[in-house]
Amino acid sequence: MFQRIMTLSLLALLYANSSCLGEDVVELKNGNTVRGKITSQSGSFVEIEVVVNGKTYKRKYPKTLVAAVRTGDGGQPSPANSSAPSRTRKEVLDLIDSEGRTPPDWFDDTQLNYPNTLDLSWPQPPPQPWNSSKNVGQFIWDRVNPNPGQWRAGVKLMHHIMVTKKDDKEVVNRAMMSLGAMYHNLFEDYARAAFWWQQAGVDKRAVGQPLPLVHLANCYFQLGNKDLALETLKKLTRYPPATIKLLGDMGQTDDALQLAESGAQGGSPLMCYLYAGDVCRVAGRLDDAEQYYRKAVDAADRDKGRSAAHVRRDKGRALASLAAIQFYRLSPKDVADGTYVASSLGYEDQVEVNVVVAAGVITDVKVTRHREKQFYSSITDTPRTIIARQTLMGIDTTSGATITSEAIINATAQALAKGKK
Amino acid sequence: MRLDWYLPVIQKPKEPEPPRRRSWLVRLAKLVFPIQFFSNWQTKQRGLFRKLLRRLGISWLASPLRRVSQAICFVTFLVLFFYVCWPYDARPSQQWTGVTPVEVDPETGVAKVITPTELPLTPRQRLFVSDSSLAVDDPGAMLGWFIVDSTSLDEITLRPEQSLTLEQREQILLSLGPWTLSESDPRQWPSHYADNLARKEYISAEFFLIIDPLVSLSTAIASRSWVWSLVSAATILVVCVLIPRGFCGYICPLGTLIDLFDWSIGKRVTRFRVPDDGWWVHIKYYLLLGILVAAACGVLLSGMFAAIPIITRGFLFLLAPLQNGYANGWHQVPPPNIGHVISLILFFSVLGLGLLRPRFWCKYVCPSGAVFSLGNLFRVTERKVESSCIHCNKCVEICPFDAIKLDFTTRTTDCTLCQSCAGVCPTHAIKFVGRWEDEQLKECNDPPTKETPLGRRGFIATAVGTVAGTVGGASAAAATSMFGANLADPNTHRPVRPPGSVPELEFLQMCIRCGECFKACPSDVLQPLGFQQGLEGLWTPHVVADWSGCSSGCNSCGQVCPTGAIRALPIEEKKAARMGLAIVNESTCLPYAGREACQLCVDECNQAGYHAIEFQQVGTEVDAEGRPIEGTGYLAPVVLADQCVGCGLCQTRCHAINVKTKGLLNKSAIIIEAGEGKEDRLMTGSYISLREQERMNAESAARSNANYLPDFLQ
Repeated sequence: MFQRIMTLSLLALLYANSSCLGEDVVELKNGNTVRGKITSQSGSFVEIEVVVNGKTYKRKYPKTLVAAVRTGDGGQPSPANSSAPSRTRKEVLDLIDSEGRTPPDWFDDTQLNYPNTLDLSWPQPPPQPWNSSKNVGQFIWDRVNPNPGQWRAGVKLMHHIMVTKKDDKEVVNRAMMSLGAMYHNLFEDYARAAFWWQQAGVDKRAVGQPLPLVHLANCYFQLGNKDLALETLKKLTRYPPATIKLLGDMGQTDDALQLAESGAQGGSPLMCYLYAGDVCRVAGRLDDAEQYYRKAVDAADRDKGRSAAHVRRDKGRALASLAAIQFYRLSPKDVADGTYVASSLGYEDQVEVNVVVAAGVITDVKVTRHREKQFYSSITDTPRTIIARQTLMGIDTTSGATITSEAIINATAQALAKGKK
Repeated sequence: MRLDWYLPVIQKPKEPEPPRRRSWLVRLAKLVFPIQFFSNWQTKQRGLFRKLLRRLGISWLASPLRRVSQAICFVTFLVLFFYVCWPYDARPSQQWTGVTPVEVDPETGVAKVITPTELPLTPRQRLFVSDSSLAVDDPGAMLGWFIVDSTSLDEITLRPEQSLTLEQREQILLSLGPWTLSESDPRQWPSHYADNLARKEYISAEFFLIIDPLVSLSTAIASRSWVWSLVSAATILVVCVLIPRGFCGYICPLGTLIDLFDWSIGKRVTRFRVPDDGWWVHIKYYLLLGILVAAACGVLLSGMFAAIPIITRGFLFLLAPLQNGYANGWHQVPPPNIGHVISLILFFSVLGLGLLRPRFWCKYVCPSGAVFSLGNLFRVTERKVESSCIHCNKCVEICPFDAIKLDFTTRTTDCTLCQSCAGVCPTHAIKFVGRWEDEQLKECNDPPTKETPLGRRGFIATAVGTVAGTVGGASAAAATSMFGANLADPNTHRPVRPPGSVPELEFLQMCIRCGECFKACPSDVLQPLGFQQGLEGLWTPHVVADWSGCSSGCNSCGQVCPTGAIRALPIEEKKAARMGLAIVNESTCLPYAGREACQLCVDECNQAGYHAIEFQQVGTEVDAEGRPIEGTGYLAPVVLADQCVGCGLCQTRCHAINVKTKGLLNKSAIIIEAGEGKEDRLMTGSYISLREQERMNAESAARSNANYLPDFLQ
């Protein structure tokens, strides 16, 4: 019976056994790797013996499918994020220009979808009262942003407005800013986002809006040039808390923490400490992270924030991270076999996960209950990453769905803690 | 031509005749069965067959074939009704996750996998394999169909169903799992209810309904359209030219049920008995006339009186709730309405007529029977009596249809050729032969039948009946439509009809109100209408979405509809057919009303795979500069009219949670509505191509509007 439960996913096996020295590795064409003992390499096949459930199986690959064979490999998994591109300044700027000038492949087939009552002249500030079938910005807020299915139509509407109102400089600028935000926040299409922000001149105006500039810097970083990103950040006169996360993502942990401290003095301690905690956590500095989360919770009462709802949510997140962070180091090897359920606070509400551990390996992570409205990709992506990596340390939160994906990691940590041996 | 099958073989041969050569069937039977089963004519010992039949009853002995046929048909009817139309043994196709491929043969793609637990698989089972480490929409994730070769504890060997292309083989080799094994292609739309019905339908569930000729005939007249079940009605009428009114004697399950009632109850209660002659004997013709006149006026009344709809509905309202309650729990039984009560009164009246005379309904009232009686005018065979008749009256006593005159000859429009009379005839005087054969026949009118050619009274009676039938039919039609659905009125009640229903006018003319669709409908989404549409809509199916929503994997209602009022759609078509449109009540819906966050309907819709409800941010607070404050307000549901098919799952959910469980609302805040523009009601044609057309129009509109860059950037 025990034998049967002790099933290892082969993918998991490769990490579970990664410490064994002297293992052979077959790297496949699609990036998958098989670890075991190579028995034959002659002829047109590579044969490798793998051990699963204590039994030995023989896998045989035609050499056409094999990218590389390493014998006696130490078994270190290739570092995460090694796939992130690196580009020169010119390459990045050229990429932005060429991508930005061509429509995305879905553009032509996307149907414009907005109410006839919408006032495309887009007056600013919008007339009172709130009316999302009349005011463009409110339409985007109410109908486009909450629905992934409407994002493309929303982008198309912005292009439509930009083309039809091309003589109204202000409206065109508003549309461009909006496009930057949409391509960045919704599609993670950093080249086009950067293109439209550049066109709108966020990096040229002396006193620009700070947040788009931070996001533009993020685009440069994501496209592969960190210097350009840092240079862009230098144009800021005041730093919104999102800068902390960006610096952390870029590996400038100390800069990020420094900025967090000064931001905390500057009046938004909750947000700054929360971001600082996240930065430390991703960087693997769990003790520091715990301290920052604690500071965030303490600061919650004096932080006015943007609204009471914000303060409540951010404090909730800090508490959730605080509750989970002590279990991040927990290896599945220290967890008894079984199925564990736990939940942690996401964007809207608790996110519940179901974690299955068998023979010291996380074999399944499933989000069983959640009320997150958007970014469904993190609901499947993050569990898949956890299963592949077999650790919670250093898992990048899905960009654009940070909170949801963080909640999944936190909940998984707490679930594993329930089975601690 | 002789059509004798009343088992003369087990009758004692006539004395002067030499012993007959037995038929090959009897000779075969004598080879198979022991000799004790057969009567011995020399010793006049009864065989076991005869003894058994005698014990069952005199009518079994007289004409066993007829009783056996009745029994088979009745059991078939019960099986079709209670088993084939029982959706609850359908199970969604199963999936097993966490399966790891450990060996894959590079040449054949045969894979050895290990599973987390022992799986209930059998060798040769078909399984679809997908790589669950990849996203579902990743083309590399779908590895295709495999056959289970062998299983042992946690190890399974899977063989690709078809020989693979190089690309497919590589895909399987490169995949390290974990794999998911599924009984159906995971990209496929669910169809377990549809598959379940199709699997059980060796003969179609509505078989008895489509061979009731009045059902298709009146439907075709009322809707002035071709009804496919006319074919089976024509077939049974042709058969009944050979076996006059054989439907009534051999097949009709209502007739068999009435026989059972008469045997168990009717024969014990004699105080209501009436003679075999009276004004009532021709009711069926006038009723048929009335029904056909009403049908000609476009109003379908046959569902109230036709034989098979009556028994189907009777069982539906009486026994189906018991079956449902017993198997699924009594809370799963929908509450009855006035329509149920009326239908049951009608059903019990039909049975109760048996207190007047055995099979009173069949003989005198049943309009379906009247169709066969009229068909008898074209009969090619009939019962004839030879001159050896000794006037013993046994045949008159046993005849269940009062089809024997006082002179022992036949009332040809009533005789069902059941041959019971021949079976009891001591002199073998009765034979079933060609209509025009007239050898050795006994004299007519001996003893006198007291029948006269159509006299004055008869003529007047016929005239009065005909006029009453015509006028009755016409005025019933007029009254029904006047106090009926009133389709011209835009504010009239518009019930949500089953998916694939024909346009409402034709629907009311074609729906026979048999109730078969209710029986086949999982979780009773379809329930009978009361008087919301007057008499015109009584017992027609409508969607009660408060009770339950239309399951995405089911198309049963159309499959079992005998008249095509609900079109028999394949599951792909049904998926595209809009039966209504969900309308959100923005004054009560919890997020709209600012009461609390709620997304039950959205989740339900996405779960079912329609993705027809989106969010809208409502109640956003703004700061001093008029900018929205993030995190304020709620996300409220918005229905996409071009995606919603009106299945009602959203309404069911809102009702179950917000109304029933939490008591937050008095009524579901999302309601399915029917009406112009909210539903597709087609007589013919494809719903898929309708959607396709809409999509093409939208796309061409999108193409004509493909402005990406303003000209100053080009």
